[in-house]
Amino acid sequence: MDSQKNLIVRGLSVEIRRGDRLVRPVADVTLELGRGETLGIVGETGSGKSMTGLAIMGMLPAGGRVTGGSIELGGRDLLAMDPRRYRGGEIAMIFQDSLTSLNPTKKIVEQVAEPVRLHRGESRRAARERAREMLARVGVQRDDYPHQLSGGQRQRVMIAMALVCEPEVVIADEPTTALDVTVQAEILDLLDELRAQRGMSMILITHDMGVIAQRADRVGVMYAGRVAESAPTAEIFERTRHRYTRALLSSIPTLGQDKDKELFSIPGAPPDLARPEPGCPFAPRCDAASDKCREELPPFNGTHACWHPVDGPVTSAGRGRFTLSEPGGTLLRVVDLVREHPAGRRTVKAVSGISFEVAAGETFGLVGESGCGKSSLGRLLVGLDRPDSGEVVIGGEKVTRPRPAVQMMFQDCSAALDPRMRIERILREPLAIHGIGDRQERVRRLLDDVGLPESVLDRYPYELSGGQRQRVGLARALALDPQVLVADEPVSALDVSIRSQVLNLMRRVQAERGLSGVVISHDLAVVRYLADRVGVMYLGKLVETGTTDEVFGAAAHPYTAGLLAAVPEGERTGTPVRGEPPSPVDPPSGCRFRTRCALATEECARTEPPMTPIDGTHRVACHYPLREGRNG
Amino acid sequence: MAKYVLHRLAVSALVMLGISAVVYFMLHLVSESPGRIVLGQRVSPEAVAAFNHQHGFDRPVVVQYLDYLKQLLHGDLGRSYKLNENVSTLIAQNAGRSAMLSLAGLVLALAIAVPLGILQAVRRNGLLDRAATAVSYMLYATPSFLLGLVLIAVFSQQAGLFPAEASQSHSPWAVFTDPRGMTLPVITLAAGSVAVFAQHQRSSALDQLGQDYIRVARAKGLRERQILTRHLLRNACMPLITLVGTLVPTVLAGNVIVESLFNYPGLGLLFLNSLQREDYPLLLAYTLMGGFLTVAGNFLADVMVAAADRRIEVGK
Repeated sequence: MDSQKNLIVRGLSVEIRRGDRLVRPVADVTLELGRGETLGIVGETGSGKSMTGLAIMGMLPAGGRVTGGSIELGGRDLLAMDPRRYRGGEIAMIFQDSLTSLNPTKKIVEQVAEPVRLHRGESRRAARERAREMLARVGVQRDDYPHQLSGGQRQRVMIAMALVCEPEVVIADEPTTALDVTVQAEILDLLDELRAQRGMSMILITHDMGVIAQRADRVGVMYAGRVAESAPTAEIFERTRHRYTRALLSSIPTLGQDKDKELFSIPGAPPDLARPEPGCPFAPRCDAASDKCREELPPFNGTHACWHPVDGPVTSAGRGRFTLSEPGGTLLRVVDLVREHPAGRRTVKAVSGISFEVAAGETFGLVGESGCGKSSLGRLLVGLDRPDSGEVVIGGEKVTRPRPAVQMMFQDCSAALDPRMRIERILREPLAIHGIGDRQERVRRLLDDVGLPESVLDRYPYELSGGQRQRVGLARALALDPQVLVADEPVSALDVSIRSQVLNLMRRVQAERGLSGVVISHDLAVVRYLADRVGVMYLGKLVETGTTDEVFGAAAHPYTAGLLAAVPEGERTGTPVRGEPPSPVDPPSGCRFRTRCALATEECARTEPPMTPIDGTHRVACHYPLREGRNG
Repeated sequence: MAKYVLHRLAVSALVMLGISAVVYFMLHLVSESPGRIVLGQRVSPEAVAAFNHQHGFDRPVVVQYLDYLKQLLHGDLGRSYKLNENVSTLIAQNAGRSAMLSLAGLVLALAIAVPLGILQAVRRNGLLDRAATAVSYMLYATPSFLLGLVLIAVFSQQAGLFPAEASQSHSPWAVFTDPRGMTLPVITLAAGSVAVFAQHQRSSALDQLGQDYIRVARAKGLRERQILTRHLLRNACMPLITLVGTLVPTVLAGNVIVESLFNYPGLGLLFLNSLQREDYPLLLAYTLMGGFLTVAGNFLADVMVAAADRRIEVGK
């Protein structure tokens, strides 16, 4: 039986000592990987999924060591070997793309050739030849410095680098997390194809359940360093056993869910691994936890580790419902906004003539790939940047500088909050700037609104968890009682279980205060959940607007349809958009999307399609919309 | 790349012009009447005026400055009345030796600091790192004249290993023909820079060690030493190139102390002597050279970084 298994991890435990702090990021983990199989490992930050991968590679961080268990590859005990002998040759690892994942001062062929010379002992020339072949195989036929490549291309180079020695096992750690959905689909296709061709086995580590559902044969769900549940992929979704898995699956916003209902959310935060408690690590957040759960650690029985397993598909949703208020008159008006940033002698055309309106109490969503100008637009809305032409009008007044009426909630609150200020000062600062009295009382109320205890007032931002920081970011934005809240990727940096808490909070606060909102995100499901109406942006222009149901339910622009098809969720329908957008320095003539559009004709290159109404509020800028208007 | 170099060159020329103007007018404020300095206090005012008129020092300062600029463009740095010699000849005689001393000091400092800084980063907070940091700060805090005196007292006067005075020959080759005489000056000169370079190299290497490409290199199966030489070294040296460029003129200034301490006939000693002699044409030329080296050092550093790191927007 074991001959079918390529990689076997049994009872793996890891500890990391840093000074006096001892953390056990991996505890008693058992995994089996068959030949040619893809094993998905899913979990949140700190669940131990990446550390498990690093332990297999023999690449634990400083102070880390394996304290128990075994790792076998094809019958050999890897823990007894020098990791350099198999690392990069027999087992390779693909990391999340970042700007620094490739050496900035070496050309890519050289970097891909390096493992060939190392593990195969080939000459420099032969290795370079092999590297060129491999790069061509992943679709990068050039030899440039890493900064000249796009994010998707860099990730292809990373894949080439990992697979160039034809490893038996490849560990892909969040290989597509930093990429747009469109590029993500391509990269995952490429990985699948190469894996099948070479009969490799793959461990796919990710936080994204959608990716797992589409790509993995088997899944291991990790929580607090332990495997909570492990089963074939279909069973995880259809016959969920562990209560954590069920809670996790329930709290993910999907494109198909009822948006009037509150998202299911797991209360609290994952445990501190430096202070392990007895019992099931999920017990403090579990709604079915009994005394037994709190006292005795449930053993892993091959499929799950839970005293009170469930049996059946995920059905639960949040309990609360949102009462949708009728939107009032127009509050925010954006008229023909243009903003171009100089870059050397060229100009980046970030925003090229955008107009839309947001009514009082309404939320407008902006979606699009990275680089489409949605964040530049966000900065213009709150007056952090000035447009070259056009205007932003709120309640009849032109926005030319930051003002209390429009406030912004930033993506990464660990960067947006001054690290040397306590939370109390952070929240009082906007009040002080605008000379608003009774600050103490207002700060208390703000904390109450965003569900934070008063004890956080004395803390610094780094002492808070990601979810708490995002709540502080929301509170800071609400401090001046704005009429419009602009949220730029409000939950992108958060884990799934925390994400739904913050999303629910945003919906609730908005409803209570009658706030208008502009939500900017690359995550279609998040926008669909938060927004009433939505605008799809492509290279600085809006290509489709309408209510969320109109746009997501009956997309009229080929780009919108392609974006929706690229979202890894359930069965794949339609054709996802391919490739990456052209540079905003030199956008294509006519319709900017034509270079990636299957329906494009010469007409699209000649004239720019105007925004045309299709049905009700649904408007699209396309010569060949996928849906015709009722009146022809 | 050629465009970038030309652009930087044009900017450098403008900066040089500015420096020369400021230095010229400032020295003019200090010594309005060169005749008095050249001829001494006992000569009649008429004789001084006659001297100034003969040499054109009674003309408006702007005219004098433009005249001086014209001379400069022809490679004429003026004439030292005190030494009765062309300034350019004096500088040419001494520059080679000063350059040899600076270069030897710089090479020694880099040869120690680059590997040391990287080693400190790799073994951060270990015994070696802490010890090296402590020694670095001590050296950095010690003025070079004190260090030089201590070295002379210990190695020259007590142990008698090295001479206390460098070779007096005007040939730059003396550096090679007299290694023993050069040892103490070079060490004194290098000591201060080692400390600065090593600390910079350490923090830059620490920065780079945290980058993802180091982890990727490890995942390829490279040995730690290969990771350091093939991937870390070049990236970690970038900030040092800039630093060395900006330090070129400082090394020249450091020479003043070291050269006078070891009685080493170079530019520094020449400068010190002309300061005492109020030899303004020489002081002017020396200060201008300092400015020139500053500009040239920065220019070279920028071009080298641009050549080594292709991410620098060269067209800009």
